[in-house]
Amino acid sequence: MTRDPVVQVENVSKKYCRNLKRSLRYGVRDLFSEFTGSAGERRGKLRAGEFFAVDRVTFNVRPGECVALLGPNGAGKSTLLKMLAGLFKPDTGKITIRGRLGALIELGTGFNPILTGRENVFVNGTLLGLSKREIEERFEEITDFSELADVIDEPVRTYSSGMRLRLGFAVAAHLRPQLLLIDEVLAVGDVGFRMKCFKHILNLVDEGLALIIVSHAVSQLNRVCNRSIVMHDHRMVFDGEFPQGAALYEKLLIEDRPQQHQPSTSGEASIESIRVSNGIDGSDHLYTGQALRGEIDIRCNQPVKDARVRVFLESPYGGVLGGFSTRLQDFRFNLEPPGSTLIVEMPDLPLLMGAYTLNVALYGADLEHFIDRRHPGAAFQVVGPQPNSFAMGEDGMIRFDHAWKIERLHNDRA
Amino acid sequence: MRSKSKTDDTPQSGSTSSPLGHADPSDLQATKVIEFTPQSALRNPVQLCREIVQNVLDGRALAWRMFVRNIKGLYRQTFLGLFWAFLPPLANTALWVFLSTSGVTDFAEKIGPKYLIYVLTGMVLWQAFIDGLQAPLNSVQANRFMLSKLRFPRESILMVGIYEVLFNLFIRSIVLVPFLIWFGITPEFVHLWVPIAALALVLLSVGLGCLLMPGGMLYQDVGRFLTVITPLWMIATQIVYPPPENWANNPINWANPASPLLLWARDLLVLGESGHAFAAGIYGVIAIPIFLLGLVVYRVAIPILVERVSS
Repeated sequence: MTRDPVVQVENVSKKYCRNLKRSLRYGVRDLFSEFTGSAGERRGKLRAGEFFAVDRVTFNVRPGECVALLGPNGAGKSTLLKMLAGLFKPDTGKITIRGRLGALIELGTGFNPILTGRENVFVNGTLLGLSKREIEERFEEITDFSELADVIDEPVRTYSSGMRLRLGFAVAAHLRPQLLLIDEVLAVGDVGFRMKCFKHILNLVDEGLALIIVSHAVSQLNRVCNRSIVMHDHRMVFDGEFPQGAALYEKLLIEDRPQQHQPSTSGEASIESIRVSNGIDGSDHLYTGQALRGEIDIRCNQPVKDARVRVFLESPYGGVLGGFSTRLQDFRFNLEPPGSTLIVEMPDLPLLMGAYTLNVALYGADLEHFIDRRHPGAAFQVVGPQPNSFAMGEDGMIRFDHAWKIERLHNDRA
Repeated sequence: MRSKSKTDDTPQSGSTSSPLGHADPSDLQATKVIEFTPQSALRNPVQLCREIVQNVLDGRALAWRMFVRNIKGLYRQTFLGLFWAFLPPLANTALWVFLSTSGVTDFAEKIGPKYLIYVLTGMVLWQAFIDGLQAPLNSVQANRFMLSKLRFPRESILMVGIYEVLFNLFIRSIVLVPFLIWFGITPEFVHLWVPIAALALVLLSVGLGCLLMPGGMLYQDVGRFLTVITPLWMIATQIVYPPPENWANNPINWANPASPLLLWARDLLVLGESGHAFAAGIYGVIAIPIFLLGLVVYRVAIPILVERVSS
């Protein structure tokens, strides 16, 4: 039995203009067309200097679904979220929302530093749509959740930013909405509280809450999200399982980075291309524990004796994870025109789910003999298996071989 | 924004395909359906008016809380507290009384011994008018960050502005009382018109302020213009000197929205009679449609303004 969607987004677009003067002029025109009632017809057409910040996006979200809205900066995520929250009006299409809508675009908006925490809970709660009685009923829950019972009658001015965040989330978390929109707000705060927030969100999702969350902290999202929508260049490029979407998002991040390709002036050789595959069907979708096969094409103009290649793996979040050189295993080779393909194999890939790059640098025999490098090199995705990152399995980027055993403490040792 | 809100009978967890499907009697919680479309809100005026009324009702609690928050926050960090609310009319009055008694102007001679209370009453009403005129723009400006981050009844911000105008008017009126007693002005039946005129004046000024707000949000020129024009306007409104005999013959006096209601109320209170009843009546009546028009303009303009000024 399928449930009716809580959100229906149909062919929704939003225009944007970067030039301030022009944007204000368009604002005046929009006001006029709004007042003459002709707004609907012309809204879908671009004017000079405008572009679609969100371009024809369509999707549905049902109760109990927890959707990560992913995408590089400027992809249109926040604009889309603001349209869902009813803050911006779509320029084309239609958004239908069934049920009580809660949106956390920014926590603690409307906190007045001079007032006490208690007073601010009431102001903030009312702002988010709770009645006085509802807030009174939940007040204790809110202070308990925020762990601020001791200081609730102190002015908010005296709170640290983490305390303000806790108070803001605690109020918002007790809204009991049917649809919750969250924008980046969980990126801050201490780990313990963050876990508490995620656990709370998971409970709400179990009860049938639909959640759309925008965040760049993908590794945190896989705790709660069961679906992902990826935006790139203002369009929706993926809608499906969370892990695949997350890997695609990381890949987009890598691709959006500027290429550093700086062959040495001597021009004796250059790295032509790098390919990464699983060594089975040539796909760049890999699995933790399986083999990685990298192929590095080197074009050569003059012979290079005793060349060296250094390979290093990089994650868009973790930076360089590690690297190794051909010399490590005393693998020695010479380059002759027209060139060669160097093949590297890692039989038991220790990387966990995510997107990575295999970067390559080429050197001659001497330490200072630099020839070329590709940074970032070839992008690949580890698409499974999904790690259980709720402190119940493994998490992060690297799988560590390990073993456990337990020994009893001896009393005489003390 | 046309956000069509209707209560739909679709059960939360039902399998009905149509949004207007069969109601499940076991599901007591009816689902609220909101639609966001590019259509102009004015396409459906009945819907729009219903929404404005609904939002005003929904926004009352919020507006009251924000008002209390602002007032508390406003005076918590001051030593003189509420004194700041009535300082401007008092200071202004003191200046004009000084100018008159030192012979720079002959206004006091024309009015007689009641000159001080004449000016002070005018100043209090004038301040209410100017506060009301600036309230929509100032309130939206002050809360624009919140407007771009949170969804809540937009009207509540305007209501906070109106509450503040009325609150300040009330505080200043209290200050007026000892002066009225001092000058031997005792309550009369005709004085009942004064608060009505004052409310109409506030309604009119807030309505006009709402009409100015969209332009003022996009271009600071509007706010700057108001700052420049206010002192000149005050002089033109005949607060510190008696209106000329041929007041009614000058179209500028009729066109000045602050003038008729203010002069009428002030004359009734201080002099016990007024020749401005007709003009004030006209403005009193048009204050209501102007205020309602202001509400519509406010409502329709806010989403467009939020887009343009939020980032």
